[in-house]
Amino acid sequence: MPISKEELKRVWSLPNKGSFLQPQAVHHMCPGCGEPMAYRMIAEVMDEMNLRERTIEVSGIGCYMGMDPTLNIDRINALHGRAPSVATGVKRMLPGHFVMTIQGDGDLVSEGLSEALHCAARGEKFTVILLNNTVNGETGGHMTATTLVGQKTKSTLQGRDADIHGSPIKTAELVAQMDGTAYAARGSVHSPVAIRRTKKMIHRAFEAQEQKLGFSFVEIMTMCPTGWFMETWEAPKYMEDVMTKYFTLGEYKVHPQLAEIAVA
Amino acid sequence: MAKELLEGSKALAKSAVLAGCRFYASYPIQPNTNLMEAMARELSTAGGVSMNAESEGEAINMVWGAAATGKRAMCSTTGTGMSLMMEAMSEMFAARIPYVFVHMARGQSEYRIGVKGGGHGDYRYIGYAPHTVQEAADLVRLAFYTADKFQTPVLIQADYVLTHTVEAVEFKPVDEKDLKPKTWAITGAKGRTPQVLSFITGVYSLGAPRVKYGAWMEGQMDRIAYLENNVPTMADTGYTDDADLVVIAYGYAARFVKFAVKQAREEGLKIGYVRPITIWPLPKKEILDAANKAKAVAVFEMNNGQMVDDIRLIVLGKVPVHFIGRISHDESGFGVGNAIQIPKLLEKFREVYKTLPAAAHGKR
Repeated sequence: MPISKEELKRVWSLPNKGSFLQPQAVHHMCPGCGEPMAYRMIAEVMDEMNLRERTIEVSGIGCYMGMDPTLNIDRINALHGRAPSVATGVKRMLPGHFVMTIQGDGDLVSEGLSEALHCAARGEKFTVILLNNTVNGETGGHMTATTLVGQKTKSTLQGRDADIHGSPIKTAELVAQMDGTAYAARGSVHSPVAIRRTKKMIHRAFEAQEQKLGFSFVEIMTMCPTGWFMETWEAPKYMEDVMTKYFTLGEYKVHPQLAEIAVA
Repeated sequence: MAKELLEGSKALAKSAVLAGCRFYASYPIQPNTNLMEAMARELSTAGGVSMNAESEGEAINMVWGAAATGKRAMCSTTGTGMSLMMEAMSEMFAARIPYVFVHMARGQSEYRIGVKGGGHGDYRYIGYAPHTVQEAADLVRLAFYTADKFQTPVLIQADYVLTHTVEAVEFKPVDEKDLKPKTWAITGAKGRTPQVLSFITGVYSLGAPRVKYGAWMEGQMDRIAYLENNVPTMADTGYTDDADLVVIAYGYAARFVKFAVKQAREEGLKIGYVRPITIWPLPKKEILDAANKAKAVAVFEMNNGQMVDDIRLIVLGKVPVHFIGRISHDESGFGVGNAIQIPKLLEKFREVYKTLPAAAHGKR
């Protein structure tokens, strides 16, 4: 149901109570998009850990840029794929701050995989959040490096063919192999259970940074019914039945010092 | 401060750190490597960070992040590396991030991408072209100040010869009292409204209404004009008062030109020189003054004619502008070959001199 003008006016006039979530938390994402849920979780964890005033977010290029104004934090816009490098400069200059990047699969996996992997290898003490919906949503639904074999996109009309287009990259597993990585996990937002688990993953990743254990990485699978060419209610089921069969959910690397924070 | 005998790259690094540079990132490539080594040494003792990045693209983006926090940061590379950094260089101008970019060129083939920019969109870097080690040290110090003053990136167009030349150098401070606090810096939203440093719409506070992209771009265009008219330009001129031919050159090539001009004077040829120290904006007044008094202008640069275009635009057909440069190459490929030998330079001067109207040949 669309929000009425009166309701918008009322929301905008609310005082900003210093929470991570901006009162102007109105976004323009498509119906059924999973990214707002990921942002909500990130915001909640930051509020719980009281990080707001120390946080610097470096954002990549993608649909989720439209979500950024909903977060009540300092931010730097980076070029497509380059956010981990920018975050390196920020964290090295302000080691006491909390630094994270939010990037999509087109941004991190297709364009900027080398940046992310090198940051992991260097053990940079910041957090990278990958919002993986397996398509370039902002450009209108084109193939990325994580598009599933057989998945139809506007540039793979017959479905991605491994012989022609290659196979999808499992980023969380890749990052977990780096010695500098303290935490690597993959969560999803397709069901209440998945959301609760993912929130704990984010918590652990942020804790890894706060304890200066090394590079922390959370890949969050998000629904993109627009880019998947399906109805909004079909997307969570597709995620459960098809996508998470390839992109297995779970933790791939947990630093021993993080073990005390339980994940259900 | 007493003078020290230092190699160009080391003097440059020391001057940068004295200017307050605390972050440096680069990827090894000759002849930039010497500066990289010197920065690693200097910053390790100054408590800064020197990154040996995994690629040029990473290096420049790391500098982006470091400079966005309001700290002084520097990046450097060679022409090939600069091509790889263009994407970020362009957008760092748009985001108004002050930092110093040292271009350790192999020759002078990168005047155009340095000064005009090879990246997308409209942008300009304020450019300084030192020709001695002392000047390099002074200009790097000045570059950090200028970058902060105008909140914009500054380019140092250095080169292979300068990197390896050893000369006596003295480090002089720059008066920076008029610099304002960096309120635009991204340092976490402690005690203030959060702000965003974007290359799309510049710095904006989340509390204020968003600037529209179109309006922001209009402002960018005005900003280029503002910089062109307000950045102080510098030039080194010699023998221009009675010169019939004015030779224009920058950087290390100008050092050879200055010597050759002196030799030409001994031969009785009325030749003068103008050496732009700021290569963007160019010292228009000095160039035009010299050109107006002369019969012709010749541009010497170690490429196939890049700065000559700008000189022609300044002179605007008042006198003929000749291009007498050439890509100079030796076995190493670093651009110190035979085209820059003094006898060859003199030969080129004489060739152009012959084309001047008869009155110029000593009968005036």
